[in-house]
Amino acid sequence: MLDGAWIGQLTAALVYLIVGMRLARLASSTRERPERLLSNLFLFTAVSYFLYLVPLIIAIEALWTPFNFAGRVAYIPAPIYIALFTRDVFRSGSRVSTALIAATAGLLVVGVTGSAIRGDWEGFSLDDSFFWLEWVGYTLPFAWAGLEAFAQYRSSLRRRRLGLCPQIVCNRLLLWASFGAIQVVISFVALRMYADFATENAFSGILDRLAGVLELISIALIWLVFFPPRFYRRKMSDSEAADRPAEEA
Amino acid sequence: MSQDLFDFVAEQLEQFTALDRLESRGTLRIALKRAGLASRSVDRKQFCVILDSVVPSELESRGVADARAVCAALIGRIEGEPADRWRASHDVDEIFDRLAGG
Repeated sequence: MLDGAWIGQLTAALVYLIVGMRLARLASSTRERPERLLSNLFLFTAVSYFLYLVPLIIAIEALWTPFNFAGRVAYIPAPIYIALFTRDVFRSGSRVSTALIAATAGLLVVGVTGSAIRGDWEGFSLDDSFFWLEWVGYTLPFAWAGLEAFAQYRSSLRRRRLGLCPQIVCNRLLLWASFGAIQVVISFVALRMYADFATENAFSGILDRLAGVLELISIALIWLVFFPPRFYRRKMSDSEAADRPAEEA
Repeated sequence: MSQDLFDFVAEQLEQFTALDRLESRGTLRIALKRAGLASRSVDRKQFCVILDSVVPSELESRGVADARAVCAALIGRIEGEPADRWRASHDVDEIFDRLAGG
């Protein structure tokens, strides 16, 4: 990672930590499972990101491999939690979804363990089949989350026309779908970065910055979903009010 | 449970019209889909809204006479039941509404 390019990841780690803590507080008051699952998703992601960042921030190369591996291990629960959230919220009671979650967990555990046993502690070796198990394990749940949220967003537009879904909730579903999609794009960018690393022994500057920008976009989406600022809420309510006369006409 | 609510409304629709079981359930499913709702998660408030706004045109297109009156009667039947008869199942909109409230 280039000097300065890790700022996107550091910002993301801090935001995910804040969002995770806020959702944990929400879950403790509502005692509902969806917020607990998302809280765990963001807290594990934040811990993982911090572990990846430690050797970069304190610039000790000897720490690179152990902290990278610790970051990979700490990240394993995150995709499982988003898959659990997706099943609970969008596909409640679906056996196929439960099987998908089990498959995700299996891919991640086998992928990380297998590549470590073969000596690839950082998980950069694209020619190792275990790398691909792990990659699918952390990409698939976000793709699934994005697709389910987008499908739900489309039906929420119909509910909105009947006054059954507030504009801000419709938009929140779209933001969540976009978050899932961007995580998938980041996974593909990471693939290319690892390929470059294998041949050049360095990350591509352009791709590193692209990954940073995508992280910042993810943060903005997450912020709008979980901490909707006043201007955004006003825009949503204005949009709802503007549609009302047309609907009533 | 919400599935029970769907079953209840479908049965009532059969009684009020000449539609058979398959037709009444199919008509309601189409109306729910048009409204962006699912039979397993629709609650009573949502059902009343679609009975008022979506179902009448679906019934008219199937040749049901006085569709508006039929729907008004169905709403009356739903509202005549105890409020806790159908426990609201999890609702995606409600979850996504709640997530920003921490």
